[in-house]
Amino acid sequence: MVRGRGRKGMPTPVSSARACLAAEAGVALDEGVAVARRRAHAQTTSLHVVYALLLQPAGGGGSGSGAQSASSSILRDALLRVRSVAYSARMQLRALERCFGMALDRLPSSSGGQREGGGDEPPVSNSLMAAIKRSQANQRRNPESFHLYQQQQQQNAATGVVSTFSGVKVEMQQMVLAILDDPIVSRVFGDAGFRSVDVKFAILRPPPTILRFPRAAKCAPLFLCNFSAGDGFEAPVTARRIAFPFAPEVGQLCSDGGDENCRRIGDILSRKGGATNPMLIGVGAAEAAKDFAQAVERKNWAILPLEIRGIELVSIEKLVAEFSTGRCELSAVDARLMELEKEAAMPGVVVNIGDLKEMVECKAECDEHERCLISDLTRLLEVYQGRLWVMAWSATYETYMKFLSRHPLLDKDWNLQLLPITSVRSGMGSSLPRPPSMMESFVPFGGFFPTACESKDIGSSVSPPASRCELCNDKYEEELSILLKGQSSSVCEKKKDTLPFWLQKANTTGLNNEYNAAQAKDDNGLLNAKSMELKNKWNEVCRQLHNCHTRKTVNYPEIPCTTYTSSISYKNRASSKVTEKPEDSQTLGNSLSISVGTQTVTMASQSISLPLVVESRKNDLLPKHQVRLSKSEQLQRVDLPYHQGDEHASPSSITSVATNLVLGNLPEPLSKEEKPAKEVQKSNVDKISSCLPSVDTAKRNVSDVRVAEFSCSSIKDYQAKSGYPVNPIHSFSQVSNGRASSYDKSPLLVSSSIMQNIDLSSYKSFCKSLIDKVGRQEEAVIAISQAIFRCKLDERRRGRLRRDIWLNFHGPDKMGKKRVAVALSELIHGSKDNLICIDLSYEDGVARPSSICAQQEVTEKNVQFRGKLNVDLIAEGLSKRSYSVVFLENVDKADFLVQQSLSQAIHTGKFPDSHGREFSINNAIFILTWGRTIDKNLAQGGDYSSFYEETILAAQCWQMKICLEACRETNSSSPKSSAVSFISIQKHSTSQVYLQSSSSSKRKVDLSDDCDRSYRKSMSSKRTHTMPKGFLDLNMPIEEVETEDDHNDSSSLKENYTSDNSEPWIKEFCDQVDATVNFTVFDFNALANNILEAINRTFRSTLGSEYLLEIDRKVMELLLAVAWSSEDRGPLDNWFEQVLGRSFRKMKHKNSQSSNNILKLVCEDALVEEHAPGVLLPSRININ
Amino acid sequence: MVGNSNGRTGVYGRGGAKLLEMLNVRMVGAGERVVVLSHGFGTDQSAWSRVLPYFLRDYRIVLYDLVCAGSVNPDHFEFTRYTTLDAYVDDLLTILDALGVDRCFFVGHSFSTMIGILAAIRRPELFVKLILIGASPRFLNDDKYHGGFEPEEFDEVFAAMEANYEAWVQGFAPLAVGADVPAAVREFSRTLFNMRPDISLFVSRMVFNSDLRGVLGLVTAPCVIIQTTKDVSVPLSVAFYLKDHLGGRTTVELLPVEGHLPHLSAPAALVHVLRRSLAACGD
Repeated sequence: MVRGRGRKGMPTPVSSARACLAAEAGVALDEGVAVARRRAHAQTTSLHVVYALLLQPAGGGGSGSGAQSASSSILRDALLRVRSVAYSARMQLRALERCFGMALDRLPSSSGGQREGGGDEPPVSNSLMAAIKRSQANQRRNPESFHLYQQQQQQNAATGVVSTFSGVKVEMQQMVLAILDDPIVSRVFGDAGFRSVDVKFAILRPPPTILRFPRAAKCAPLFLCNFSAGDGFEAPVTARRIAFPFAPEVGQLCSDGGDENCRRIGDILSRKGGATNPMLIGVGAAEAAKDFAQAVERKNWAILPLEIRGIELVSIEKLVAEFSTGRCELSAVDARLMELEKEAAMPGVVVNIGDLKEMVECKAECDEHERCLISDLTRLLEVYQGRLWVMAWSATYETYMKFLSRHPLLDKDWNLQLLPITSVRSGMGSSLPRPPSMMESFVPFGGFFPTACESKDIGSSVSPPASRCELCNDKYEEELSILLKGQSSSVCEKKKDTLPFWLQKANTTGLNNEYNAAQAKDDNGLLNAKSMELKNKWNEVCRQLHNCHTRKTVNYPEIPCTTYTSSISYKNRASSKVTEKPEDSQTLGNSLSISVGTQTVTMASQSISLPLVVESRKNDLLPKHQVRLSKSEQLQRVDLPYHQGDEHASPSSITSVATNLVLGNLPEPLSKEEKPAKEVQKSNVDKISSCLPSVDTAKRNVSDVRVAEFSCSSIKDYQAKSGYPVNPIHSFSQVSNGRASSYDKSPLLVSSSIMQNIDLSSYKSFCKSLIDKVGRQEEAVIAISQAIFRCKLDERRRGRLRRDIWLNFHGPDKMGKKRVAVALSELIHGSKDNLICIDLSYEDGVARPSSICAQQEVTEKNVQFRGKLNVDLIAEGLSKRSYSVVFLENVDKADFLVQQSLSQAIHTGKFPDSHGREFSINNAIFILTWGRTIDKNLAQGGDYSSFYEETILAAQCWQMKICLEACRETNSSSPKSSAVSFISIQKHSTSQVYLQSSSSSKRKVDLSDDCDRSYRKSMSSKRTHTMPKGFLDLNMPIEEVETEDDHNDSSSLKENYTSDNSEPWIKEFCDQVDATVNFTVFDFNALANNILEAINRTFRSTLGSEYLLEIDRKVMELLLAVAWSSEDRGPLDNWFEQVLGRSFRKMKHKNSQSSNNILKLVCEDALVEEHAPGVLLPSRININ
Repeated sequence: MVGNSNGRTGVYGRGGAKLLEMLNVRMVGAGERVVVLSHGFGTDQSAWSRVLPYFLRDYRIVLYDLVCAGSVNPDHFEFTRYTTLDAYVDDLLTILDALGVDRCFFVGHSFSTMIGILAAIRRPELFVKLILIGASPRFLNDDKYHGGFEPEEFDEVFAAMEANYEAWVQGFAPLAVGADVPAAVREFSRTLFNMRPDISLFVSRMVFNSDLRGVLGLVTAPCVIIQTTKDVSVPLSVAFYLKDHLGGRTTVELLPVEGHLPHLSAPAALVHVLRRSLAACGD
């Protein structure tokens, strides 16, 4: 097995493998190589390395150095900790050794005396090399090793070694971890009773207690870092261990950002002309001003631009502060200004006015002084331009504006440059998680230098390289690293060379106990001072020699502008083939390039599918197909990277795309070369018909063709899933099951006769089974059947090879439409699974209505839908099942992308998703429903007592209760009145159950959905989880502020938005569908009667004849919603018997002696918490 | 000399071209008007991918990664430079200059909104309008201001991040996404985890140390604050604080969805508002 792997590519020479490894790991590899050599194996595998690691402490003690034995103990120690308690440690380790020994014995030894490339050393096997590469990549991602990597680079730079090797040196731990992933190794571990996962985990996890391994030099250091927090080792350390090497200085650096602010102030000061006087604004402005003052005072020039080094800062803050106290002495100001005049002769002076607040808030009598000061300053600024600056700060913008309003145009006179200061230090004082004591020893310059640990980076990172050009920078870094090397007597430094970086933090904490912290500080201080000196030297050199100012911007190249498929007009078919650079699509996570060539898919797949339909056993075609499939698998593998990170790409979608690509190999795009393509198809058909005489008859008999197509679709569907051709008979029987049973025909009979005699009077049967399945809307169903058969007949209506069907469902009865869609998908494509159902009116993420009808639709997978675009959901569905019924509701509400995709789909037969990937809709049936027409609905149902679809759709599942009502006059008459108002009662005069008539309803008489909506609103505001209304109201006052050209009301706007280009689109789109079917109003009254009857039966059987039951309208709406939206009545009838019947019985029991005999079934003001099984109704009814 | 590939570039000397490459800048779309999409903490430009398709027809979209994003080579993150938001603003402005953009819409999310605000203060002429999603000028509470985080909470967050970054990500991502949208949680976890932990910690410290309240008035460009009804990072009051204090004409748009990342969890809802905000501006 190992050899098999090895053969695929050349094994790697040991030397180059070793180059990837750090010292210890290299030694471990060498040991492994030695094992392989001793056993005369052809290659060194992971097994050898592990074996060597296991042997080492016991057997190879002499050969291992100290570090090495420590390293090999990683594995041994981990094994000791994971071993099961049943055996002694030695036993189990021995067993493990033996297992590995046996595994090695099974490996073939090299046949020849000498191996191929490696000379004396058995080269490294590919699997081991892969493990090394893996660990390398893993390590590169880890921050601690990132630092190591940096170090290594620095060292290379220091010694002048120009290393071409850019990889990371793999540490022991990482290598062991990666090797444990090797299946061969983990199998052997398994044999010995270890799970390699456990071993890995043990390696990553620190030993359970320190006491168990008291200062054991063997293993403890490796895990010390985990103890640093005291309880740190308790925390689960996951597979990818993450340390925070920068954490200490992170806090230090980030908490001020002071240097950055100083630099910015300096930048403004050093400008040539323009606004050169900084005005700091922001909460952190005071600190920034102070930082800057300190920097100047301490001559901390490194952070300031060259031009202004040597400036002085004169603060007149105190003077200004005295303004506000009213004790202002002009003489003092004058004196100071006189001084300023003198000082201005020097390199440069910055006058710090300080907080503008002092100025703004000073009393009226001081106004004059203030003016005086300002004008004097203005004068001075003019005189000493370029050498005198003013700076001030203000915590808020408002203060600054006040100041400006007192001194108009001063911002121009003074050339003020606003500098927003956003970083705040004060807030962080308490929030630094690290104890400061530890930091102090590290950060002598109070954050100026990050830490000693990073001191090697000082040269390149800390100082602003603006002061040096690259050449000088390199030289400087070189010298710096030499300096740092010489400094290795420092405690930290010494440690650093031998220990991995992430250890240092922990180590030095420990060291602090033993060493005088001040000592370390001094060392570091010296070091930093030296490096500072060095830096300044090179800065100077650079300035003199190169006169560089690296801030100059280089000319900017243009970025290629990528065009997206979706931006291309769908009308232009030819151009919808977009070629894009693969790297482009890769970077964005899109896979646009995949769409190339799909243009031809329709045609190609058609030409293949046809022969398959007619004669699936046609030998010359089948192998071909298989070959193509395998090809597509290869492609799929190649394509995978492009799909990574793409949520919408399911494995199956990839398959389908890849398949498309292969099939699309036919060279001609559809639009360009119609003629040759036609010929191809024709010749195909000819070929087939010549092979299969019965085709002729089939062609003559129209209905036969239809059936053939139905079967064909399912076959292909199956093939698409399984990847190999199947017996069409089998799949046809699947399809026709429903139909066959309805005709009481055995499926066998149907299937056996299909190829020869396909006369099934398919239209009629199809129509009939569709009606059976839907159970209502007969006219519509007939129209649908006709439309579908017409489309199947008229194949070329959309151009050749297009078999997609587009139907518009108009009118009411939302559930009926849905039912038709379900039935179609069952009848035509064999299963409900092929139905893609999406309501385009929902904006995802927006709380969906909790109505019964909506909940009926919500399935588990809706959670997966969230956060995805509708267009991608449709595309995803199409990619998974190309033989599908796509049922789109409220297409008028479709967003822009869906509109575009639909248009393109109906034009070209490809449905593009949001990334531009296209999916064939060749065998899909699109059913589109359009917004509910409420007005029409209302107009038809003029009778106030009838139910409207709108209210039924909105019905929510309220908790119900039954209450007993005294035989009051109004109520006693109500049976009669209800009998009058309700047809149902008229018919069944014996009924004791009746619906509460609207007139006696406690709610508004008007039952228009207006009322209902307000009701719903009041309800929903009580519940926290449906919030839209409540919060949208908040919008109103905000929007009102907007001027007229903007929008006043968000809802009207939304309509604006959707209608901005929807209207013409809807019109254009509706013109292109194959057929429009009108649905009629669903007869809710009949259903209501039906329900009343059912309840009546239950009622009478439980309570007897002396009671009456009045059903609240809301309850009836709820029941109607359930009955209407659920597919079968069983659960509902069950509910009547179980839940309702039980309640009636309880009621009877409770009120056996009461004279009250009218029961009321009403809704409570709370949603049902617990549903009855199988139906969205309460599991129990409250009684009172 | 060039062979010294230690990954560190001259901090202030890096040209626009280099930056464009470093930060994966892309310009897509066919429209005239330029829209810059700037992602927030813990994501990268891929966060916009669900929103992006809606704008490609009508706008030219500039996408880039913040230097702290997981998709940017961590070597480019200079701990000494990105200590304040200004460095990020520098990056943004350099990118726009390099692309030759002289007028654009800015759409920022989370901590990018701060960048946008500062950029608009520094270069008012550059920005037609700022569209700020989940914006906050200050995350920490103080006497008069409710930013959503007590300093102690913030300490806890950091302690958690330091203790175990992965576990923190696992816990934080669903919290931030807010809504029950597994795909969005997955996506956010992915990008969040892509960030190198130390950088992530560093950046969040920087963000939490930033306070823009004093400078909001300096913004002159009109702003649209897009705020979801429930956002763990930004309380609703912050949106109104921004509205009251931003210098330009400011509108607050409340999205009837939950979570800090509506572009991941509820793209369609966000798109409506975004398009409206972009279209409402005449020019």
